[in-house]
Amino acid sequence: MVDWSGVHSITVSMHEGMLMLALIAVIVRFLVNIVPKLPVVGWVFSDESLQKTARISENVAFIAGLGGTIGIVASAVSGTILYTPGGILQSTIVQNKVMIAIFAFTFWVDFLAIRLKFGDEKIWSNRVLQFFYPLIGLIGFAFVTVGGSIGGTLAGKESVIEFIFAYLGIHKTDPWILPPITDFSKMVVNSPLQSLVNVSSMLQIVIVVNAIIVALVLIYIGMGARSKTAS
Amino acid sequence: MSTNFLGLLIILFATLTSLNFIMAMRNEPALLAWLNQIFFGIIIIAVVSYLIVGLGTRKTAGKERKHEEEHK
Repeated sequence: MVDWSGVHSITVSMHEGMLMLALIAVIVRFLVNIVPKLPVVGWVFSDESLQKTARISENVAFIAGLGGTIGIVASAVSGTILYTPGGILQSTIVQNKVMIAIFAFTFWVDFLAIRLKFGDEKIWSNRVLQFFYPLIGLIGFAFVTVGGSIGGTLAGKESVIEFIFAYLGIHKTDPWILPPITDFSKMVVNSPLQSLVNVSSMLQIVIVVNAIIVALVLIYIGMGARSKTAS
Repeated sequence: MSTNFLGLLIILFATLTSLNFIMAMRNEPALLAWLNQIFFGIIIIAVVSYLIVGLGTRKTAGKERKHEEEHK
């Protein structure tokens, strides 16, 4: 019998460690980018050592970020098995944790997507991207930390950032819901279409329409890629 | 906006709509709000990031082009 609590602890520790490494590496890379522009500090480090540090830290940030992002998926799988889908839907604190983990995952995917799209040189030579890229990593890591803190509460332990929650008056067990975002759900629930059409048949129509939209978009993207290859 | 990004947004919205109807059918407003919040969060992060990156790189590309023209 597998102890899923232990497996989840291992996967969470691994992805948090990798993302911490990615964040440190990207901050180092950012500092290397600005050090030569600073007075006095720029004279201390040689160009060669800075270039070497830049190359290594950039690669470390990407590989650790990739490993950490895959690790978030592994943690999500082990966490879902541990708490069971039914348990997640009933507990507000676990729902908060899932939401924060999804946001953290989105930020790290964004981090990797920017790196893959623009590459090392373009990111660090661009005035906006050189600040935005580390910022995305920083926000992503902040979400990972908050998720870890909720995990600590679920395990019956206190985390080191507990005082921040106390200072801000945030309770982890309350559902974290932003009112303007829930308005959309109210709009759908109170939709006049629901009274006109049977909900289950309407649901079938929505699913078929969505499947057609997704298929059309995929065909469109595929045709675009094909015409690019042909030209 | 690029085709890939539009495709991603459409997939997100399509999934969001499906989930909304499933939750509406089950009559669970708390779960509905939670799911909406997650999907809207993802959409907001994606759009804001896309706009910042797009505007940032376009500005730099314009400057580079201007610089090249001045050289010529």
